[in-house]
Amino acid sequence: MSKDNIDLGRRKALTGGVAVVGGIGTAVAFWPFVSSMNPSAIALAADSPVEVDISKMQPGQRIQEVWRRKPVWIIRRTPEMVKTLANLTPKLRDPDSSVESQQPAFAQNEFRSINEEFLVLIGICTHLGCSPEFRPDPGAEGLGASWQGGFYCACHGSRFDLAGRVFKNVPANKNLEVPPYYFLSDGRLLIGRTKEEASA
Amino acid sequence: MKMLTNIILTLLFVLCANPAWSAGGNNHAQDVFGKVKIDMGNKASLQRGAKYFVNYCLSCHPAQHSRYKRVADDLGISEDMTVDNLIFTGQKFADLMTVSMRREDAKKWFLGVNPPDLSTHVRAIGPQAVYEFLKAFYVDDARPFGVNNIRLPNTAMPHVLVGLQGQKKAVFRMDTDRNGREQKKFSEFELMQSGTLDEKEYDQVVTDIVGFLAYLSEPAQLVRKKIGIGVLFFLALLGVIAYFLKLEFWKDVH
Amino acid sequence: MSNESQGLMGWIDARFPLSKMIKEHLSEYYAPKNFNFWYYFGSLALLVLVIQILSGIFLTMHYKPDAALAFASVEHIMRDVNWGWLIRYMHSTGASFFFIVVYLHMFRGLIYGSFKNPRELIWIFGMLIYVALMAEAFMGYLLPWGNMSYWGAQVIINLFNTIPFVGEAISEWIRGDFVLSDATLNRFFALHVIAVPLALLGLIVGHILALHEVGSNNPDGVDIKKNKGADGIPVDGIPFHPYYTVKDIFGSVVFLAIFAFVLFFLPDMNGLFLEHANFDPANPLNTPDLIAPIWYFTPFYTVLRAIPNPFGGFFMMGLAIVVLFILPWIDRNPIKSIRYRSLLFKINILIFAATFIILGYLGLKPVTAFYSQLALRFTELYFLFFFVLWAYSKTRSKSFWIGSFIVLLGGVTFYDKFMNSSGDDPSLIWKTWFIPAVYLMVTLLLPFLTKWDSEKEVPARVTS
Repeated sequence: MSKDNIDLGRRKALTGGVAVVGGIGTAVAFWPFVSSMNPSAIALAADSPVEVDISKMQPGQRIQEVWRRKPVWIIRRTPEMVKTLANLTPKLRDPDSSVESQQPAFAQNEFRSINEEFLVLIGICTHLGCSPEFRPDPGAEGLGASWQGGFYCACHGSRFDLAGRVFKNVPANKNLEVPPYYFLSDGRLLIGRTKEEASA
Repeated sequence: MKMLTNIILTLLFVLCANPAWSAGGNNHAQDVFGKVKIDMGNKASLQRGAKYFVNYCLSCHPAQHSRYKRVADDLGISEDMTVDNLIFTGQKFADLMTVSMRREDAKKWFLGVNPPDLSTHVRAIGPQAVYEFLKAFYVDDARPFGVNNIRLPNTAMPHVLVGLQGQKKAVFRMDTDRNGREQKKFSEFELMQSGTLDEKEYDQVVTDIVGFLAYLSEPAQLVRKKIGIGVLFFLALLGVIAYFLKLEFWKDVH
Repeated sequence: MSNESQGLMGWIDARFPLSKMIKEHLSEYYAPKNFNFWYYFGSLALLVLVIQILSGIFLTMHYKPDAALAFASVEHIMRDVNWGWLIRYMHSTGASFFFIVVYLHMFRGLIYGSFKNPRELIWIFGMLIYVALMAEAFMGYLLPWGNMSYWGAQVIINLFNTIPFVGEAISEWIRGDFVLSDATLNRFFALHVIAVPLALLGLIVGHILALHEVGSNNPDGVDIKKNKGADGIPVDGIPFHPYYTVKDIFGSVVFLAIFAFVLFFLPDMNGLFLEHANFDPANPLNTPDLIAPIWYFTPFYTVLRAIPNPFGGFFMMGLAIVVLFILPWIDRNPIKSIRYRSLLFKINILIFAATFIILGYLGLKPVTAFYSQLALRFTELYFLFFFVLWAYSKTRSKSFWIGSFIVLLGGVTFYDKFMNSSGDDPSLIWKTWFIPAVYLMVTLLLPFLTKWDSEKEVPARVTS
């Protein structure tokens, strides 16, 4: 062992070189492991669009579908239901659907839908992910006299109107999400793609 | 000690490189059928193979671990093209390539044999075996489907490509083996009725199918070597710096 | 202590012996300065262990230990999971490289006498690690539920059937069923991902603690602690950190390059690392044409097949492993390193290395009369090696050499006469008889016929 004539500068540079290059290599080597935890092709397969037959739906009826393993609701609103939407504005947090992530551009309107009769929503509360109850009757039990019909999340008490718009002073702060969808024909709905995406 | 080290490393190397361990081995069959030439870089051939596969094979043989979407993405086929030209079962783009035939039915139709799943089978038996098999059908009225196979005698599979290849007759001769027993030995094929393709074209079709099946048995092979080259270059760089680092510190020792 | 640590390190050191451990095991662990090529494999084994644990954890996230789903879940990993193919190949290539590294590490111990006093316990810990590793590999091999997984495990578990009286009960207990089934797969999964790895980690800690207690051996087999400087540090010792850390970093990069080459360009190594038949799903109705275990088991598999009696074969296979445990009490020669041992010792070691490789090769081949005879002959060589090793422990008399030659060759010939049969071609027996005969002649007669048994003087200090 002799510690004379040590070129400390060179030693430091080489140590730094191995540390930096080796560190980069280790970091890159971790990427495949991290990435393997992302949704796999099985999860992505659930991304396939879903076709729904709505020709036999009664006014006021709701049916449930599954897209991306999430509940999707289709509600055929009665004219009375649609009328409630206009006068709720002051009670709502986001009556104009200004948060873009919550609906495709085509649903950025009072009805939050393509056709005012048919409402399509992802049935997951924007607070912490429970699935809200469908309470269409005005003044439904336990929800107060001013309730005009809508969705109520029993987990933490969030309320939404019949267009999925969130009320003020509830835990949830965003409207229920509208999935991409379009009408294949009068009685058939395709959920999971907008018309533009499907024709691209 | 150096010598011993060298001898052992050489021995290990020789054993690892021993060609007898590689799949298939050399045999008479290769002379008759030729050696399959697969090129994973030839996207056009793989695309044709995919087309033949779904047309001729997939109605009975599933590839239940593989997804249409993955095949389409890897081979550069668009979603619309895939849905219109490759999916006959009404399945979705991201679905697994299964068959609609029930396994029990298949077993009944094919003499008690289930057509094997082709997603990995080619990796088990090797592409050369499939290549030879698809070229080894001949007319044999004693068999239920009227054909037999040199490479897999009494196979339960009908000759689905007969329209392309045409019908062939197998010529056998009697041969005496080492122990003096007489044996029937295959000698050559004779064309009885030509199909829509000549021999060279048919070989190309079989090559396309086998190439596609080889791809299907390990889709990762399309990228793994490319990534490997990058990794090796990186390790070479790191190795050089690490070597100089070692030299630098070890100046203290000697 | 003058150099008491400050700041965060000081805070930790007052509560946990971190600095002390770093000193004891790295910066003030003095290793001989003359380590050569063979001394890379200890740290490389640790590197492969890390690779296996890391890739194993991520495989576990996607794998399903269910006979109906296992094969498909592996293909799911190979196709659907992002980078799943890389993680799977990492694990399968890692398994083979683990054994390559461990075999070379053990061979290093054999040639430099690293198992001798005072390192017997290190060797025994090492052997326990090796056995645990074999169990780990064997159970891991069942998990893909391919046809070779299935039939390989079937054959190996049925080995227990050969134990008199209780055999069948034992193999049923291991399987949890009358045949290899879902129950077996499920328990092998549990043992593979948690039980055996835990045991392995404990044994590895024991292996390293025992090593750092007595200090490392070296290619000269000289005890460096006998030559200490005024500061109490061995004159021929250098701190493990930084000298061997930088050296091992370089070694690791070279190793990783070889590893990456196999992983990316030859992941199945022509059927050696991933056997072809395993790409077909397990089929209880159809045994693959050739059942060969994965390459690292084949030397012992050949021993098993060489003995025509079922229990005898199983027993000899077990003995082939057990005999390695008692190596410190077989080779009792005070000279540790091969450098100063006799020429005949070197020849004996070389023949043993070749024997082990040939046994491994034969285990991959089908059973023919010729291969069976070769298997028997090299099995004989495998065990005779240990006798010769023991015999070379000290100077022996001429009558000892002649006597043991007659007894051993007589024993081999007796076996050939009364128990060895070679099917259609009895001439194979005497054609291969010369293998043990020549081996015994060389190793037992040359010591007194030549000067090849002379040993060299061990230097007081390490060379170079």
